[in-house]
Amino acid sequence: MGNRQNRPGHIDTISRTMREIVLEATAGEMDALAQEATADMKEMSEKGRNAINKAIALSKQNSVKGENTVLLHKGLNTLLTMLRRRDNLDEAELAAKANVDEDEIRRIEYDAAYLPSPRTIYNLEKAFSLHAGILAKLTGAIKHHSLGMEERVTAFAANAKQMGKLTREERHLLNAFLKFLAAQE
Amino acid sequence: MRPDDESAADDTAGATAPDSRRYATRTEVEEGLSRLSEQDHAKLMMIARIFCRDRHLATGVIEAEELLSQAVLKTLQCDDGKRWNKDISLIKHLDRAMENISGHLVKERTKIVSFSDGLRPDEDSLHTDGFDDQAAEDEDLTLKLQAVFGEDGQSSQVFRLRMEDLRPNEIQGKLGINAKEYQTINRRILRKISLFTTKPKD
Repeated sequence: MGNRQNRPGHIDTISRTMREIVLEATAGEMDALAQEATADMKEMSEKGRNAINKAIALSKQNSVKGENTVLLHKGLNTLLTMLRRRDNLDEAELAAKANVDEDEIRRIEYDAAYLPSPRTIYNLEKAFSLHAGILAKLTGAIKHHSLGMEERVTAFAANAKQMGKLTREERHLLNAFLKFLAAQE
Repeated sequence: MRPDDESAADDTAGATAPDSRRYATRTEVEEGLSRLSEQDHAKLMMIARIFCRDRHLATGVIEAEELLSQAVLKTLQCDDGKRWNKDISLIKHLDRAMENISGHLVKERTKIVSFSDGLRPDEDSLHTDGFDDQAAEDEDLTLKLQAVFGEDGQSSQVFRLRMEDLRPNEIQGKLGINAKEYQTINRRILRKISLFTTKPKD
C-alpha cells in the first residue's frame, strides 16, 4: 500500500496518456477530426489561437510597461544627482539630511531598475523642498503619462552630467524639468 | 524547433553561459508561436481542457483558455522553470508548462481546503486516488475509461496498455493486431478524447 500511495493515481496516468496521444496526432489525423461533426475542432482551434494571442498581447504590454519604468527611473537617477549637485551635497550628506540610507541614495542614482520605497521618495522630496509627489512621478507608481513624458525624461537624462557644480545651462534644464513634472497630472 | 535548427543568434549567447544554448529567447518563442498550425492550436486547447477537467479546475479556479494563456505568457517572459528548452517541441513544452501551473493551482486549492477544515495538507492525496484495495482501484479505472470510451472495448484496451507505457509494436503483439488495425484504433481513441474534452463534465 505504501508503494501505491507514492505512485500517480489513475487520473494523472489517464491524463498523461491522453495528452501523449493528442501530442502525437499527425496533421492528417487532426484534419480528419475537424471534418467529423462529432467534435467542434474549429472552435477548439480558434479558442487556442485566441488564448495564445491574448498572452502575446499581454506580454507585449508588460514589456512596454517595464521599458517605460526603466526610463522613468533613469530620469529619477539624473534628477536626484542634479538636485544634490545644485545643493552642494554629497551622497552621505544627502542621506543624513533626508534620513535615508546612503546605499539607497547610490542605488537610486546608479541603478535604473531600483524602485525606492514611497517613504524614501517622500523624505527626498522634503530634503529638496519639492512639492509632494514630484519625484514619485518618476517611480512609475503614479499614473501620469501625458504626451511627451518619455521624450522629456530622455532629453533630461541625456543632457545632464554627473559631477561638479551645476552650470547655468544645467540649472536651467533642471528648473524646466521640475516645472514640467509639476505640471503633470 | 529542434536543436539543430538553432540559429546563429544563439551562438553568441551560447559561448558565455554553459546551459543557455538550449533555451529559446523571447524572439524565438514568438517565432515558434507564430509557426503553430491550426491543428496545434486545437491540440493545445484539448490538452488545456484535459488538465482543467481532470484536476477539477474549471469551476471557478481557471478556465482552459486562461490556463493556456498563462503557459504562453510565462514562456514568453522566460520565467524560471518555464523557459522553453528547444530540445523539445514548443507544444510539448506548453503541455509541461500547463501541467506545472495546474499542479500548482491544485496544491494551492488543497492548502486552502485543508486549512479551513483544520487539517494538514496531505501531499499524497494530491497524487493518488487514495485506494487501498486493488479490486476497487481496478473498478474505478474501468469506470473512468468507460466514461471516455463507452462500449468501445478495443480502444479502452489499447489505451490501458498505453497507460502502462507499452510501445505500439508491443501493444500490437500483445493484442494480436497489425499496424493498420492499431492505427485505426488509435484514431478512434483520438476521436473519443476530442469528444471527452468538448463535452460538458457530468
